[in-house]
Formats: sequence, C-alpha cells, structure tokens
Amino acid sequence: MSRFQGLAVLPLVWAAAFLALDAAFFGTASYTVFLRGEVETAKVLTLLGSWAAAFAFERGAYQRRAWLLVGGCMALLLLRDLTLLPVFRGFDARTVAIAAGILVALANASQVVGTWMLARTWKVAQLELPGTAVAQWLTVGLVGLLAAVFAGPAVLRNAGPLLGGDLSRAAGVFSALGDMVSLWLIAPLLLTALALRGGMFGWPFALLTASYAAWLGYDALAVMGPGLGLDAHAARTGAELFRALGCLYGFSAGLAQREVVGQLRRLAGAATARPRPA
Amino acid sequence: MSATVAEQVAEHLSPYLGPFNAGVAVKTFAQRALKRSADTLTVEHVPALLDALRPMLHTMVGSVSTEALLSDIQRRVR
Repeated sequence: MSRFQGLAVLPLVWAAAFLALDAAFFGTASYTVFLRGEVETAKVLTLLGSWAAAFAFERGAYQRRAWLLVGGCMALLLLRDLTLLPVFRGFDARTVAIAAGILVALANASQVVGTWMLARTWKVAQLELPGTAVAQWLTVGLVGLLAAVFAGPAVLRNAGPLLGGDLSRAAGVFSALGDMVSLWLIAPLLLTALALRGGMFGWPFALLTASYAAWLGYDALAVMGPGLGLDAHAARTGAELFRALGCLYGFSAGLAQREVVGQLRRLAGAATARPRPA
Repeated sequence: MSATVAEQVAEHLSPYLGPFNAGVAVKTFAQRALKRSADTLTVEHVPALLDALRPMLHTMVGSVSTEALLSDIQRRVR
C-alpha cells in the first residue's frame, strides 16, 4: 500500500475506532468527555495536516496561502471551543456568545477563501478539466443544489433570530453560510482530482473532496435525520462520524500534499547526490 | 520505434499530473509556447517547453519542487 493509499484508509480506520469506542462509552459517565475529546482531537489533526501542507511550500507559493487559510479555520474554531471551558462560565454569557460568533465568522471566512483558492488551482495552473463544458457545469449545478438543500436550512433557521437582534445566532449563520459555499466548491475540487487521476498531484484533491463530501453528509444528516426516525444517540453518533471523516480526510489531504512536495524535493536531493561522470 | 520527445516529457510528467493532464499539458504548452504541434518537438525544444510548463508546476507544488522536477526531465529526455 502506498503512502497515499494509507492516507485514504486512515480516516476509515479512525471512523471504525470511533464507532467502537462510542458503543463502549455510551451510557457511562465518561461519554461526554469521550465525545468532546474525539471532536477536539480530530480538529487538531485537521489543523496539523493543513499547516503541514502549507509549510511544505516555500514562502509566497500559491498553495501555501491556501492551506494556511484552510488550517486557519480550524485554529479559530479551536479558539472558539476554548470558550466552552468552565472558566468562561463566570463571564457575561452574551459577551462570550458574541466573541464566539466573531471567531466562527473569521473561521468560516478563512475556510471559504482557502478552499476557493484550492478549488481554482486548476484555473491558475491552466490545467484541463475532464469532460465537456456541459458536464462540468452540471456537476457544479448539482453540487451547488445539494449544498443549498443541506446547508441552506441552517442559514435560514439562524438568520431570522439574528436579524431580530439575537447576536448569539451569528455563529450559526456564519457557520452555515461558510458550509454552503465550501460545499459548493466540492465540484471544482472533484473535477481537479479527476483531471489529475493516476498522478500523485491528484491525491490531495481527491482526499480534500472526500473531506468536503463528509461535511456534506454532516449537514445532510442534520436536515434528513428527523425524517429518518433516528433517536438522539444515533443522530449524534452519525453527525460525529461525518465530522470525524471530514476532519480526518482534511488531515490526510494536507499530509498527502506535503508528501507530494516532499517527494519532489527528495528527487532534487537524489540528483545532487548522484556522482557526476568523470 | 523510440518514443518522441513529447511522449518522453509526457511520460515523465505522468506520475505527477496523471496520464490525462500530462499529455494535454505537453500538447497545450508546445502549441502555446513554441507554436508547434507536440509530435514535431525535438530535444532542442525541451528547455523552452519546460519553461512553459514552469508556471503550472509552480502553482501545483511550489518553485523548489518544480525546479527539481524540471531538472530531472531535462536530464532524462533524449
């Protein structure tokens, strides 16, 4: 199995381990701690993967900026999660909610811009996308529709109260808007991965597509969960499963990108080390 | 029959860009930079072709990795 294949399998192994541990911890006093620990670990891994990719590039490189921004989203979300610590319970709840909302807004802006940059790598690099223009636009339209259907309701649900003055709903609005735009960008990421299939440059895009597809699943479950008749535990486990896959595929994508850059740098090292003919 | 220069460059790019885009890139940039079809390229055209591919590769993997790859291709194509 190549390193890239290993990175593709890793999130599935994580997901299987999560399900097994979820079953083991459910109903115990440690369950909440287990869930919170799993969520934060997955977020930290996404941050590490994204910034590992970013710092594989030299200063000023196009994808360095993109990966820094994608990782920046998780860094800001982890900062927001700090507001959940007991120490913040002593602060004014409204102030904490507004601070959290600002962090979520910045996180989503970072995510959208970073993903946008990665999604238009093909255009900046002047790559050819596969399929006819009609097929490409159909892909963009279909994914856009799915993003609107699954992430749109959360925008509407939070926008009303926010417009009514409930600033604590700002985080929900920004989060859902960020999701909607990022999920729509699955289309160009997928087409780029398909264009580069069979080549190592395609792996980061394929894994990133899998990450955003998992986030689409996360939003889809929130919309369709009640209709599926899931109980509270099943709904929560399903959501956390998709979140874990979204985070871990993001981690794998970052490491795959670092591996691509690293392999080429090793090529340069090998050429330098090669003895010159006398 | 030995591989043409275009085929050799595409073959070296293929593990990175994939066979689809490796072939397309050589054809596109041969036409754009050298104003000739890929199958008429000779070894003398390789530096100019690699120069034309450079911005695309910079976007994908940055400048250090790009130079490593282009040097490798330059060395191997005959």
